[in-house]
Amino acid sequence: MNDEELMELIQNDDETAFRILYARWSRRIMSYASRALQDRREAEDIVQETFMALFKSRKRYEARDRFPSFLFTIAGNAVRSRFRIKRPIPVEDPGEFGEGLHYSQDIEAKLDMEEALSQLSFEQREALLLAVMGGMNYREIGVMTGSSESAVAQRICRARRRLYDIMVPPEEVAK
Amino acid sequence: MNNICRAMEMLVSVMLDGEISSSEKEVLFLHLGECSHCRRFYEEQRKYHEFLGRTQDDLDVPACPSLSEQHAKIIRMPRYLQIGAAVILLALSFYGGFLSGDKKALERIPTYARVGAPAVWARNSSLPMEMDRKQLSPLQNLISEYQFWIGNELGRDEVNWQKVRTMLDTLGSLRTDLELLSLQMGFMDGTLQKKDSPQNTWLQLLGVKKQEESL
Ligand SMILES: [Zn+2]
Repeated sequence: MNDEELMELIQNDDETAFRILYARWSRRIMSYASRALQDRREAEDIVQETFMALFKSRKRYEARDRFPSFLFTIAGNAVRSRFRIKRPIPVEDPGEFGEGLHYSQDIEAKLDMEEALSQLSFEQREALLLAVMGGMNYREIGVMTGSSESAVAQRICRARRRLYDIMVPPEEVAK
Repeated sequence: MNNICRAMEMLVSVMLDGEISSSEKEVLFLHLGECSHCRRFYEEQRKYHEFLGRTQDDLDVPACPSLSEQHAKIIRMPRYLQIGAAVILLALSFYGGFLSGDKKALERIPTYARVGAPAVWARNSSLPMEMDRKQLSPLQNLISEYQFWIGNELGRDEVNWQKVRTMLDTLGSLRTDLELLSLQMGFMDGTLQKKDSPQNTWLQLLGVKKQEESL
């Protein structure tokens, strides 16, 4: 049974369908939240909040909606509000400015991918993960984050550039 | 790196996200064929994309919440439980941290604990204007007004947490002041007040009737 069919059952308060959907998606949501917030304990809360909110808003779901986008929109908003509580003063997307400042002194040591991810700004990480993990398109991410599609495209591109700078030592690039 | 290569990075990015047009794709692969720098970038990005697309497998996912419990918690929460939730929220915010200056207290409150608070605060203190102010001290008045506005804010769909936190902070200090002043009362000798003495100001704040100045 696919996600869309399960959602239809959940709209009729079917608990088994809810559990199946949870088993299918909870780990991915947790993975997303844990990476976005860089905090596993908070990610657990996000999983619970997301699925509770999913249940509460089940009637708003329409069969033509792509389920992952629907779910990730809920999770993404939960992560955003959690982030706002943690850091109430909005941090501007640093963009080009300040990029490359986090080079490890020890260029030899290739940083782990998760570690590299943690060095992005929240906004960059958020947009990149929503696209890659949530399969959301730029328009959907733009709606969630209040940005234009092209701003989202640029933010994600900068996030990728930044990862590249961190993962690939500069003298190797020069070759 | 030249401008063409910089533009290609964007094309690599939109390609990975499936947002590329067919003409852009053509341009991109033509360039990748002749630029080793961009080829390297592309190969790396594909690796990152694949890595990030995978779900981490070393996570302990919490158990699936039960729907019947959720009904009980959210939809059919009895009134006394709502009041209970409000009390817990108050306890958490005042004793779980605000008095000791730990502002993290608010972060720890689960979303569902907010449900009861607006109901209770907005109802119980929705009448700051109609209340018989004479019975309350100026400090208590302020406190109930803050409770009202916090309850009001918590009842919104989009809660401004920064605002709530500031107001809770203020509320916390007001209550501390009230408690301290009440304690102070026990040590004060009412007959020694001077017109502008600090004790006098405190007494006024506490709503204690100003005594006639004795000779
Ligand atoms: Zn190139």
